[in-house]
Amino acid sequence: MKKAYFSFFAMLFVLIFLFLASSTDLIFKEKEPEVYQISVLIDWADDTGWENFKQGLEKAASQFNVDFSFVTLYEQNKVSQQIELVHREIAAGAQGIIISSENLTIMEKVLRNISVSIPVVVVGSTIDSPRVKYSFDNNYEAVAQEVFKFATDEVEELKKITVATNTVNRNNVEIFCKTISDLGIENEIEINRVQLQSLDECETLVEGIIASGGGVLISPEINTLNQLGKAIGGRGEEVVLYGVGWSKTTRSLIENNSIDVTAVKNDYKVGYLSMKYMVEHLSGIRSFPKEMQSTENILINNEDMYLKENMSILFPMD
Amino acid sequence: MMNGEQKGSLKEKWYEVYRKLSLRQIIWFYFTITALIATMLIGFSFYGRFSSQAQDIIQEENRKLLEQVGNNCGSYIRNMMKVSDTLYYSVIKKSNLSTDSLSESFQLLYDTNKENIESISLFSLSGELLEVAPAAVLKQNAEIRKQEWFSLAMSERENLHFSTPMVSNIFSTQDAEYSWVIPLSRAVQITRGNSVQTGVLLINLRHSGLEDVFNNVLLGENAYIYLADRQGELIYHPNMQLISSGIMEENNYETATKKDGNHTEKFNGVKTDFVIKSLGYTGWKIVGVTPQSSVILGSFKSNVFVLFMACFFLTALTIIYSYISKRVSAPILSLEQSVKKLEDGNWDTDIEISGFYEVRHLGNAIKNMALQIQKLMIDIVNEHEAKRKSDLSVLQNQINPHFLYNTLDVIVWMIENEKQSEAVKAVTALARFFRISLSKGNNIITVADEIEHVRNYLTIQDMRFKNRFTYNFQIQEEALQLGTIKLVLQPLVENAIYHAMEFMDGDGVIEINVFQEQHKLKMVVKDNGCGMTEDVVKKLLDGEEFPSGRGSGVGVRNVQERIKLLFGESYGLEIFSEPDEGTEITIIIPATPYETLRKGGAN
Repeated sequence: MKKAYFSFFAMLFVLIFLFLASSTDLIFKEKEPEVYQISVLIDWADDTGWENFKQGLEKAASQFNVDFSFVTLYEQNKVSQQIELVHREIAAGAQGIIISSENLTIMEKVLRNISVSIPVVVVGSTIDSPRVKYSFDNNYEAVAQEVFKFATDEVEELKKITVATNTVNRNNVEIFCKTISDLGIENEIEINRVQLQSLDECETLVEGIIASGGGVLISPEINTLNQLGKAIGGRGEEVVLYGVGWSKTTRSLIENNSIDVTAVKNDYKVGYLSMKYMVEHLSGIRSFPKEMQSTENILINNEDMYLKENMSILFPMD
Repeated sequence: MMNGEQKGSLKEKWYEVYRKLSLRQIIWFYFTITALIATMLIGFSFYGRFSSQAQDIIQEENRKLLEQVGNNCGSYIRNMMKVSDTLYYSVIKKSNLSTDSLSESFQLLYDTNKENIESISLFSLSGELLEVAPAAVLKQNAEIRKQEWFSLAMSERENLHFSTPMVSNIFSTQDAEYSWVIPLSRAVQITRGNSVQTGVLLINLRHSGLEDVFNNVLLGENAYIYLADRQGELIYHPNMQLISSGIMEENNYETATKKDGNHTEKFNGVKTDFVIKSLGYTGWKIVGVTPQSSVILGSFKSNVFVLFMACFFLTALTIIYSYISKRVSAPILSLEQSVKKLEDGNWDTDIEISGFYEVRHLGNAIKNMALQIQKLMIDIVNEHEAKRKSDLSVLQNQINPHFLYNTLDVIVWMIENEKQSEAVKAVTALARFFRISLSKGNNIITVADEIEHVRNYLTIQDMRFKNRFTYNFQIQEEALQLGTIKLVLQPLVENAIYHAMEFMDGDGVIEINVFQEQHKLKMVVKDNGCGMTEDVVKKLLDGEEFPSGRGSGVGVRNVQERIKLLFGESYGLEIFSEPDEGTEITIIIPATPYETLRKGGAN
């Protein structure tokens, strides 16, 4: 009889428990979707050339409940400000950092200041650090090879190439320049590197090249590329300009033949995936072994800019 | 892996447990197991059914929603076509471009529809821009004739053509912004002076205008709608950029080959429901995509609720089955209790007969059987009693006739030797002896009569053996009226005379002591004869050893058996004997008044 009473009360207890668990929030509370705080820091003072990347971030943020802040430098070319900005973002509660810094010295300092518990996704370069969970490498060596090959294929009897950069130390730019330099030596083409800081300097350089009967300019930086394009101002027959990167300004400059070719990667995809991978890491869906993805580049000129397959890369629809 | 021995052992254990289960437990157990299986089967069946119905309902809802979206989209397309028709038939056809300006009409229609229209432009066959609204400058390198929309318009001149989405790229823009458009083009007849030329009217529809048609349509969690042309090229998709970037895949080309209606397909390992609706003029297909995983009733709480309902019904059924099993088993249990009492010998137990027919029938049968057994037992007891009495008579009739012959021989000798008075005394004693021996056939007599009987016997024997022994009686007065079996003292006294006094030469003494001790009547015959060993005494009581054939013939065993036969195993003889010291035999029977004993009270 005691056993029967015990069984009865046990069953009653189970029923009450199941009822409370299924019909109230007393025992189990439905998990509300978590909103992740992620900060995206770039080493530029404006988002020129980052528009598509931002669109990718925004798409991923809306899909994965991310409240993200896109942080640029206070001043152009002061990449050391990134250290301070990273501190600020972590103090503000950032759960993950997506960072783009092409200066490895600065990047190392940044990473030293980030707790291991805060995951980092690096965009644009690669660095060996336990804090970095994933990186998208621009692979500037491959880009330089492609641009150099295009130049030598397109320009007959190419004797000289001027590589224009700004004065800020960026590892990718250095890799690019070194690769071009090596290829120049290999192909007996003179490589001249110039560092430019303003539109005036760009115009002076362009005028100088025109005065000397034309030449080939290459810039691996989007701002310098756009400034050089503006300096050329449609005189594409006299100065050939190749570059790396994409922005709205670049589009116009390509259309009016100021820029002949630019190497473009799918920034939207990089932005989307960097945010997606960060969220997946934070939510524990997957833990990345140290991975690196080399982004593919395509060369765009004014003839193939509106090809269907290129339109979606250059002009994201979202 | 379980070997055969373990399996066998487990089976035996289960069998053991099963054997210990009561009828109620077995009924309850099987009912509950049946209920459990039934609940599970019904539960799964209903769950599947409800899931399927939910899926059907959602599909139907999606179909209706898609119908509505189709109508909206169709309306959007018709409106845009109407704009094109208005421009063509009401403006371009009625104008002569040599003299008339189209800009006002173009601007008016653009202003009216600028939410959906990016630009309206008219081109000559050579690609010359004839009119545009809003005002814009054609790009220097814009190759109009190579544009897809231009080719389409020229290929089938009588139709309107919707091209796939593209970035507007023919007009210069101030802010370097770009916009996605859907070109709507058609071949038109342009009048210029006296000549009629062919041109192309282009209306760039804002892609965002089409997005507005779809954006606020919610099919459900993880469900979405997309729009594709006849070939499956995407026109609108909520994740268009992800698809073109290769991050996501869509089954648009395969879906384009399917007819309108509901379809289910597995794409990239995900089972998905598709609803397809084609739009009339364009042949575009609106596709609603619902992954089946989002339809399944599978939230944690709803699963727990299903479990709760299953447990609830199971508990309710368990309680009901417990009650039913109790109702069914109670009469059988009651019957079993009654049978147990019968087993314990309580034949007066009232067998409760209740419950359903079979149990009542069984109860009646057991009751009748118990009565029958009771009757048989009484018969056996009676039979046994009769046999006992018969045995008693046989034993009592074992009086040695030699005693009578010897006594008569002594009396004859007395008469011949003119010892008349002694002869008279002997005859009188013999007569009294036989009177008590017969006792009118009664087996039970008073102690007084038994004493009298022994006195007469001793009187006769004393005459025969000429003072070879003496005897004396010590009789408790209260014991005289108690009852006893007749002829129990005499055989013991006879033994004392023949076996104990044989070598005593007149020194033999026989003492007869009768008294009541608590509830027992004790009659002691004591002699100072040669006595017996302990072994002999044991054999004597066990009936293994018998004295020689001399005496009355009714020996110790005879007396012992008769007492036990009448009074039971608790009563009988006690013998204390020492060789060369003598023997003391005590008859122990219940102290019962004569009348009571005679009426059978001792039993």
